[in-house]
Amino acid sequence: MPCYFAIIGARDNPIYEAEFTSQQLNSFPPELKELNPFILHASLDIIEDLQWQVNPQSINSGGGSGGFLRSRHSNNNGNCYLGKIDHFYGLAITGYLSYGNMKFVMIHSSNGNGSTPAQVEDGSVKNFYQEVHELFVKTLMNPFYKLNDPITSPVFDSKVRTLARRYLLK
Amino acid sequence: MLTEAWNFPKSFTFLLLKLQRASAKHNNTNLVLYRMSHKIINPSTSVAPANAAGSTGYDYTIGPQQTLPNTSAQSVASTLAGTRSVYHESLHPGAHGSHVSVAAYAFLFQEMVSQARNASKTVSEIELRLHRHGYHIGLRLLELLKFRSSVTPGSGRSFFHKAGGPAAATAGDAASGAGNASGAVGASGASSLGNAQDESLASNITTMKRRDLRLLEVLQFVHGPVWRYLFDRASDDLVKSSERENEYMIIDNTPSITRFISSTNVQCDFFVCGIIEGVLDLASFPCTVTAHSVPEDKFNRRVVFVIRFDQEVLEREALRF
Repeated sequence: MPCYFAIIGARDNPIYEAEFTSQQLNSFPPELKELNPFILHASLDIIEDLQWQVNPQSINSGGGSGGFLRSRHSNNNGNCYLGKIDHFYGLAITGYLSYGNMKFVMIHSSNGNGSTPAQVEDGSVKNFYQEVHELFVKTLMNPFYKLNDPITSPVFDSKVRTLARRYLLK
Repeated sequence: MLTEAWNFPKSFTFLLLKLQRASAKHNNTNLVLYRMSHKIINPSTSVAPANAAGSTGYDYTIGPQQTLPNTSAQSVASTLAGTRSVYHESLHPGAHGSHVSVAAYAFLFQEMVSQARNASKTVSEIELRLHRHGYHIGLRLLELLKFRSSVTPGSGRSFFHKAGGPAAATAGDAASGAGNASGAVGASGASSLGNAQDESLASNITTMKRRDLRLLEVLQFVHGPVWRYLFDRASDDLVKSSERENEYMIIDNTPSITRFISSTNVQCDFFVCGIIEGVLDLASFPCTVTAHSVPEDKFNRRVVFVIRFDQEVLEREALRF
């Protein structure tokens, strides 16, 4: 399924964006592609709310109106991976927070033409986020990288795409 | 006031960002921007031109780039075969020497202080410069130490078993070793990134360590892990001020980095203040940290780091917990 991934900095500025599509599965339709950044940024409010919840995953899945938004199998006590945080006409949005409160956000689209809502596999998505988190920490280790600057390294880019191929495009 | 700020819709900020992106094109002060300034900014709907050279990295004037269906890991690996970057290093604490000799550190720190001294007119300016040096270290320490501590302890041994052999073998001829390694990545394709040199720690992590949400948690983190990483021991005390609600103190009886500095009119421990402030700032606990020399009978170089949190931190604490 096509995905749109972005890392959002502390000042709500995009630090990195990428679109993952594969050959056999169709990509985002052009009219939606334009909307992706907006959909993603709309969910930042939810992330900033979840950011200070003690148990961001269980609070939202336990009853309440937001219950159906979240993926079913989120079982752990970590508060970095937020799980499915939002949805938009069949698109699912998942979020992740790094220790420095960088926001990793991704839009998952369904394989078809939007008739079936997108399914999120928590396990592999979480692994993807953790691996990207490690790459981000490595970026920070570069003394010439300034926090909240766009990450322009081609190595970072290719590594993220390899990870996406491994964890997301199946 | 606080909640209002949080609920501000992000779509508006995004619009502003789009504008900033457009105007950033004319800003030629930055070298990177200068290089890109002749490029046309495409609307994000148009597919970015496929370049044969493979991945070129994220360009914020173009926006998200699609993964090209035919770009395999192989071609990417081959284009980047010669490059060696931070991404090929391991974050494992054992991957690099974990200790620096005090002598080497003292020389470096002495140079930092004298540089700050030459560039400044007043004492407080020297301290500010040292503070700024430390701040950027603090930012990085938070992410690094937290990430490292998420790795389950047992995996450290397996890291050495896997990486020790080939890394040691290629240590002699580093250049050809790097060539071999990237060739191996290309051959195995997307199936694994796992390589002696870019061993990823994240695959060993089952649960990430929790982010610190409360004041005390984050202060404990500074008092314990950060101090242990920097000075090989926890700090001597963590105290809450009895006078002011937002004031906390970390006490170090024998500060290691200033042990060869006898001067008392410049407080060189402001470097450590910067580190503390960087950690707390990035964890969203904005504060100001100052160092005060408070000698006691046994410890004549005892330093008290006073941490004053901004009001919003206390407000949030009261609202959320």
